[in-house]
Amino acid sequence: MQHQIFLKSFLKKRQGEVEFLGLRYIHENYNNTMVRNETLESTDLKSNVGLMVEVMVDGHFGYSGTSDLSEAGIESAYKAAVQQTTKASQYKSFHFPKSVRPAAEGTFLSPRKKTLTDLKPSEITDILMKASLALKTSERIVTRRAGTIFSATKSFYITSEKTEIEQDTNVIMVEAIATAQHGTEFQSRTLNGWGSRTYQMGAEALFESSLLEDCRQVAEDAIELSLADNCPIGVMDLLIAPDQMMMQIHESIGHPLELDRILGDERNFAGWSFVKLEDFGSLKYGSDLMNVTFDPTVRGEAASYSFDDGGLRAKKEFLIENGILKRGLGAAESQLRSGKLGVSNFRAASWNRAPIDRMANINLEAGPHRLENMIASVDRGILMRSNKSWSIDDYRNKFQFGCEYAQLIENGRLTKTVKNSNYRGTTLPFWRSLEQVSNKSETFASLYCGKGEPSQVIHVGHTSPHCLFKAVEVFGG
Amino acid sequence: MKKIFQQIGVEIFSDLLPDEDASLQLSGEDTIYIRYNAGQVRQNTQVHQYSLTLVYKKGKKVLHQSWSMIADVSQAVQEAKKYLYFLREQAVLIAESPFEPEMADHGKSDVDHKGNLPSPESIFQEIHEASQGTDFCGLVASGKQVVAIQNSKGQFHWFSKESFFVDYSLYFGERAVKAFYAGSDWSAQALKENIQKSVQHLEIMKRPMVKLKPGAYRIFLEPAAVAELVGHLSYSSFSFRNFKSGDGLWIELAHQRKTLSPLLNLRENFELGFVPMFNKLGELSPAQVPLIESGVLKNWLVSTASAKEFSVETNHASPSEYPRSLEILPGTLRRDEILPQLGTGLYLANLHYVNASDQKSARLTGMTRFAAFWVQNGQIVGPIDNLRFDESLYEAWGQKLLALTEDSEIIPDTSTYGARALSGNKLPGMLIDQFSFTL
Repeated sequence: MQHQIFLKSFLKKRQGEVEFLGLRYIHENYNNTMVRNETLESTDLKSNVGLMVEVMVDGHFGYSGTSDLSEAGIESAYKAAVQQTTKASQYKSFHFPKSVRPAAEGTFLSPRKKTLTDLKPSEITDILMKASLALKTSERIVTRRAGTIFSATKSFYITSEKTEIEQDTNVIMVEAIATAQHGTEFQSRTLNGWGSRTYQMGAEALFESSLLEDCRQVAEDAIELSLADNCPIGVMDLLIAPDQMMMQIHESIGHPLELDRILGDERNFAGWSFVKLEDFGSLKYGSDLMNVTFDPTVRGEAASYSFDDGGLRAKKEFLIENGILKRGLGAAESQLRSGKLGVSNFRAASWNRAPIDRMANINLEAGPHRLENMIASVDRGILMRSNKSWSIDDYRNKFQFGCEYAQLIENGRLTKTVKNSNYRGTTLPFWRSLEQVSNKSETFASLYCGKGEPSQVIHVGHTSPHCLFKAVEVFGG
Repeated sequence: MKKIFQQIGVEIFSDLLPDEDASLQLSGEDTIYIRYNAGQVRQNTQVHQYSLTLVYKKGKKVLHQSWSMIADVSQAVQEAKKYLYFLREQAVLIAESPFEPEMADHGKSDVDHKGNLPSPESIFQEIHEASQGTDFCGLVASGKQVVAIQNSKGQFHWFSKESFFVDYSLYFGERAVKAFYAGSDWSAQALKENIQKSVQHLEIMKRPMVKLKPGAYRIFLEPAAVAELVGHLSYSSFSFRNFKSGDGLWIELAHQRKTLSPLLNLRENFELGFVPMFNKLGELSPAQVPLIESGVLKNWLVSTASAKEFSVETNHASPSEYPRSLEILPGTLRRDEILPQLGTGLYLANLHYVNASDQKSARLTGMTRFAAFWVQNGQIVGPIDNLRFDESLYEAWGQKLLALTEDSEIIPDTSTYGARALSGNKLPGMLIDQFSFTL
C-alpha cells in the first residue's frame, strides 16, 4: 500500500508536465525448485520489483524503468523518460493521441487456493522428491528431473488519464522429465512437453492427485520410446494431440497475426508476417472447421487478465471464424496504426520493458468429432503428442516440429509407438488441410514466448482439441 | 555502486554464524534501448536495473535469494539482512544439496572497461543522419553493465563494461540485409560507413529472385550464419552433466561412434574479453578450454558441482555449464577465394530459428534469412526464396566441411532477454558441400 500512496502523490505532483504520464509498479516473487535423481539441485527464490515510468511527449511514448524505488531513483527515472522522449519525439514513427491509453479502473485476482507464502520450501521439495521417485520405474530410467516454477505477481498501474488498475496473478509450472537408456539410445519424455503444464493457480497444483501417476506414465513412455523404431518417412494423415497443437497454434497462428509484426516492428528480430493488412476479413486461413479465439478471460489459463498494460479491458474475440481471418492481435496503438480490428493484448514482460502486442490465450475452439471416430477414419496415419522441437521461418510460412511421442494409425487403429517423430509444412496449405476437430479440448501453455527489441519472454496459454490434418510430410531420426 | 556492494558484503558476512557461509552476487545495467522501424523511433526505453543474489550455505544446505537492489546503502543493507535471516530460517527445513561446491576464496579482481558511449543528447540525431534514406529497423543499446561476486571467504571480483551495439537490418520491400555496429568507442561516422556498406549489399538483393527447389547444395556460411548454429550448441551441448544425463548433441562424438572434420577446432576463449573470467561462484576458468580439437571432443564444460557429483576434474565452467565465449579457429580459405571455391551454390549471410530435429545424429533444422544468394560459376546471380535446412552436424561439420575462412569475425551477443547479454563468439566462415534443404 505504501508504494501506491507514494506513486499517487508522485503522479499528482507531475500532473500536466507531459501530455501523458503512466506509472506501472510490478512486484514479482518466484520460487524455482529443481530435483534431479532424488537430489535437490536448486532452490532459487527471487523478488523482482521495479517501476516503469511511461510518458508521452508530442504524441510519442517513451519509457524509463528502474529497480531503485527510492524517491531519488523514481525522480531520476522520470527525468530520463522525459529527456529521452523529448529528443526521440523528433524522430517518432507515429503521432499517437492520448486515447490509446483510455481511462480504466479495476482489479484482477487469478484463482488460487494456496499462495506462495502459504508454502514452506520444504513442502515443495518433498513433493518433487516424490515425483522424482515416481519417475524411477526401472533401472532403464537413467535421469529423472522434477521441478516447479511458481510466480506471484502484483501490478499497480496509474496514469494521468485517471486509470487505476491492480492485478494479482499466480502462475505455476510443474514439470517432470524421464530419460530412458537402451544401449546407445536415449529417449526423454515429459509431462506434455517441457513447461506446458503452466496454469494460473496456486501451489495446490503441486498436490494434484494425478501427478505421481502421470510421472510413472512419463517414465513408461520414455522406456517404450527407447525401444521403439524410428518414425517412418512419408506423406500421411497426421492427428495432433492438444499438447502439440499448442505449439502449432502458437507459431503458425499467434505470431503471424500480431499487428505490430505485420506493421514491421519485429523485422530485425522475430521477423515479419505473410499476413498483409488487406487480408483481414477475407483471407481463407484454414478449413471451415478452424475457429480461433483470443481469450484472456478464461479462469486459470496461463495468460488471463482483466486489463492489458495499456488499460484496454480484456475481452474474448474471434481471430479466425470458419476459416476466415477476422481480426489481428494488436492493441490500441497497433489498431490505430493499421486501421484494423484488434484485441486487448498490449503486454510487458515486467517493469523493465515497454508493452508490445503479445499473444495471451489463443485457443482453437472445439469441433464436432469424437476422437475415437477420428482415429477410426484414418487408413494410414500417425498420432503425435508433446512438442520437442520447433522452427518456423521469419514470415511464418515454412515450419517444422518434432514431437516426443508418436503412434502409427493403421486401418483405423492405433498400432505401434515410434520415436523421433517430426513433421513439416507450410502454414496456409496446412491449416486448409484441417479435416476433423475433436469435441474435447485440453489447455496448456508456453512459459517462454520470446519477442521484442529489447527482448521479452512472457507466458501464453493455448487450448485446443485433437486435430486431424490430411497428407502431411512426416519423418523420423 | 561498487562501494555500496562492498558495504553490503561487509555487513552480511559479519552477521554470519560460525557454521554459515554466504556469497553475494551483483548484476545490473544502465542502458538506453531505442527501437527503430522504417528509420523512425518506435519505442525508447531507459533501464536502470540492479539485482543482488545471496547464496546462503550451511553445511550441505543451500538457498539462493535474488532481489532488486535499491541505491541507498542503509536501506540496501537492511534489505540484505532481512533476506539473510529469512534464508537462515528456511534452510532448517530444506533438503541437502550434496554436490554444491564448498565456498572458497578464488581471489580478487577489479576490472572497469570504460567506453566512449554515444551521448543521450545526440544519439537520436546521429542515428537518424546515418540511416537517412533507408528502411532501417532494429535495436540500439548503449550503457554500462556490471557483474560482481564476493563471499564470506574473502573473495571479491568486479567486472563492469561500457559498450553499445546497433543491431539492424535494411529492407527493400520484403528483402533485407542484416548487420551490426558494436563496440566501446562510439563514432557517428563509423556507423554511417557501416550502414553505407549495408546499402551496397542491399543492391544485390534487388536483383531478380532465384527460385530454388529443396535439395543438396554447396553453401558458404558467413560468420553470422555460423553463429546461429553455434548459438544452438550454446544451450547445453558441451555440458558434462547433460552428457551424463543422456542429453545433448555430442553423445555419439564422445563415444567415438561419430566423427567431425579435422578442420574443426572449437574452444572457450576468455581472452576475447566479452565476459569476465570468473563464473557465478567467482572461480576463474583457464584462459582457453579446448572443446573440440581437430574434430575430436577434447573437453566437456565441467562445473565444480558436476566434478563433485561425477568424480572428475572441474574446469570451472559456469554452474549451468553453458559456454560463455566460444571460438572456432579459422582455416585457410582467403576472402577472395570464397566465391570461386563456392562455384555454384548458396551464399548465406544469416540463418534463423535453429533447433534440433534429432539429437542423436546432431541434426539441426532452421531457415535461411536476410542475404541469401544463388551463386553460379563463382558469380552472384541473385537472392533466393528462403529455404528450410535439415542437416546433421556430423555431416556438415564432418566430411562435408570443405574449408574455413582465414579471417574470423567477432560476433557480439546482442540478445536482450530481461537484460543485455555479456557474451560473444569469434567465428570464421564455412564452406560446406551438399548441405540438405528440405522445404
